[in-house]
Amino acid sequence: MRTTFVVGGLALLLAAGGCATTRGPRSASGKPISKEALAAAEKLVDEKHVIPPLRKYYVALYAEGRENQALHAMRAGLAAMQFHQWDLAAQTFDDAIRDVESLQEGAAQAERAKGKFVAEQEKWFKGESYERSALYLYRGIVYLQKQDFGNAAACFKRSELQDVTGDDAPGFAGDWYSSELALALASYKNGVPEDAERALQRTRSFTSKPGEVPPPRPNNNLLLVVESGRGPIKYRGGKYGERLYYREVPDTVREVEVLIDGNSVIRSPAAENLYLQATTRGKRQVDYILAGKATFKQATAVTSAVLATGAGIASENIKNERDRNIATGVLAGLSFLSGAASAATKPQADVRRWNNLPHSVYVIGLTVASSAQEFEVRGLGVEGEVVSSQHGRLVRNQGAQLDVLHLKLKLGGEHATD
Amino acid sequence: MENVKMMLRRNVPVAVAAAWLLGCAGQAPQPRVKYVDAGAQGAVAGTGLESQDIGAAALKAAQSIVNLSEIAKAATPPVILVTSVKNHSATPIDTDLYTTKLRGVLMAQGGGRVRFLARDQGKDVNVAEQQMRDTGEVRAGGEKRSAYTYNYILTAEVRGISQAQGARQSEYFLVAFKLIDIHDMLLWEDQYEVKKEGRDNSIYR
Repeated sequence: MRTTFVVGGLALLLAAGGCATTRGPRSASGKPISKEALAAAEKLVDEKHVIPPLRKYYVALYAEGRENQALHAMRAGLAAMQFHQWDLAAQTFDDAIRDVESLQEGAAQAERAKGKFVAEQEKWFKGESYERSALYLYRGIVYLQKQDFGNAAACFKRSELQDVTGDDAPGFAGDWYSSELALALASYKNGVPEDAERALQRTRSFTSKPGEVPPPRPNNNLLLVVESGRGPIKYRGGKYGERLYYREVPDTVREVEVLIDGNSVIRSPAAENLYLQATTRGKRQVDYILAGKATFKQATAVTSAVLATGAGIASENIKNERDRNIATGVLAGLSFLSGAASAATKPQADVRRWNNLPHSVYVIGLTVASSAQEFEVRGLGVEGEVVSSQHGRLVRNQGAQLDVLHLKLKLGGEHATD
Repeated sequence: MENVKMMLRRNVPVAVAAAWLLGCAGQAPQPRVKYVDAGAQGAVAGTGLESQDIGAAALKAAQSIVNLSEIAKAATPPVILVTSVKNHSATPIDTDLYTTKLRGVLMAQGGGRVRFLARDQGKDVNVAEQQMRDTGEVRAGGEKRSAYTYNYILTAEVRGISQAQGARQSEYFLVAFKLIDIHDMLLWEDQYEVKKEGRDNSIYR
């Protein structure tokens, strides 16, 4: 009997630990990253001449396996935008979109992740609906910068299509204010003003709006996209971590003021609050799958405990030695198997997240002179005080119908490049 | 007792192996590359427009255009300017790729009955070259630049209706082609429709 329990204990340790003793870096989905994969990723990043501040994003993208590709492409694409690497951002977002839109590739991994003994985070990452909507919002902005207004409009429409909700949150589907504002501007520039008017009309019924943003005008020639704060943080709840929750990191910026050559030209509230978008999604189908896994884990754990207790009672109360040994052994064996099944069940929710998303996005259309001008973007606090500021020199691109200025507000004020 | 031991001895190694396999997740598979038919549905397939959809639409348009009496019976092959594909759908598409594909298919199907202007490709380089010839920066030679005009413009636009509900997605695309003469007269129009429906895995929704 002792030998049996030693072997059983070894099995439990192996099941619980798996490769946990492996040292070194791990991917976003928890798998070890080999030295070879890291070296290959570094080499590829060198070959692509990725600028130093973006290296970590692209090394992760190339090293962390297929299931994390879209996740890192989203992060890297946004980082590339923030460093005005528009072509790289476009290409990287397109990689993410390919995974998000694919219904075939990754299907086997998705099906596998429904299994009780496979963690949800082993599926290929496609993001929650707010992350998919944000992906299309940002891809559309990159198209605007490239003067491709047709594809920009397509992306903003797609952003709304990705904002699907559960049956318990019907009023929040397709309510991205920022995407409709950007769609209106793209439609004006694309020569389809009726689409612009329809987009603005739709926003009137949105209850998720942080405030009333001055609508874009047909003669706007600059789109200012300002980001502030940190996006929603995913975390696990429930007895086994089977529930997905979001934590908000409060943002001190409540409004943005734009000054050109020292003169205030516009004040605007945020067009999007990403925490609000993340938390108005309603119940997901995967929540039912994870709840089922958690129930199984608990049931098998309880069964294991009951059988172990039964084995203990049998060992003390059955007088005949042969019968006692058989009963104790069988009950202990079944208890072990049930316990092993419980230990191997993985109901934990996938908390991989697009971690460089902002708390809020401001979308502001402006009409500026073609000559170079000084600009300042101020982040205003709850009482109108300046809590953040960025300034720089605005130089319009010759021949462009629309320029795009993308800024991330940081506390303490930093110099922005134009 | 011996029976119990026997049973456990037989089953425990299996349980140990299974537990180890469950506990130890493998590393990501190595990338593999293979050639596939350019007209075949991609393994990545979603509900968006794909290469085979554009190829089929361009082929249908090309076959129709070369059979138009204005083209087929013209004394000299008419010149067509293919304008960039316009996207009005809710799906981003590579409009440059589609324009190139359309022009390539038309070229292949035309059999010399139509000619195409490549103003987008050639004008900037040719104008710069002519300027250098005029200033003597390069040796003047050959004929002086005299760019062609066109008889017709060929436009293509993609419109669509996209719907998503839960895991279900539906996309309808209308690819519309128009041949317009220099007097804004619509000479010909043809359309190509694609409708796709798909369902994402419920674990994503």
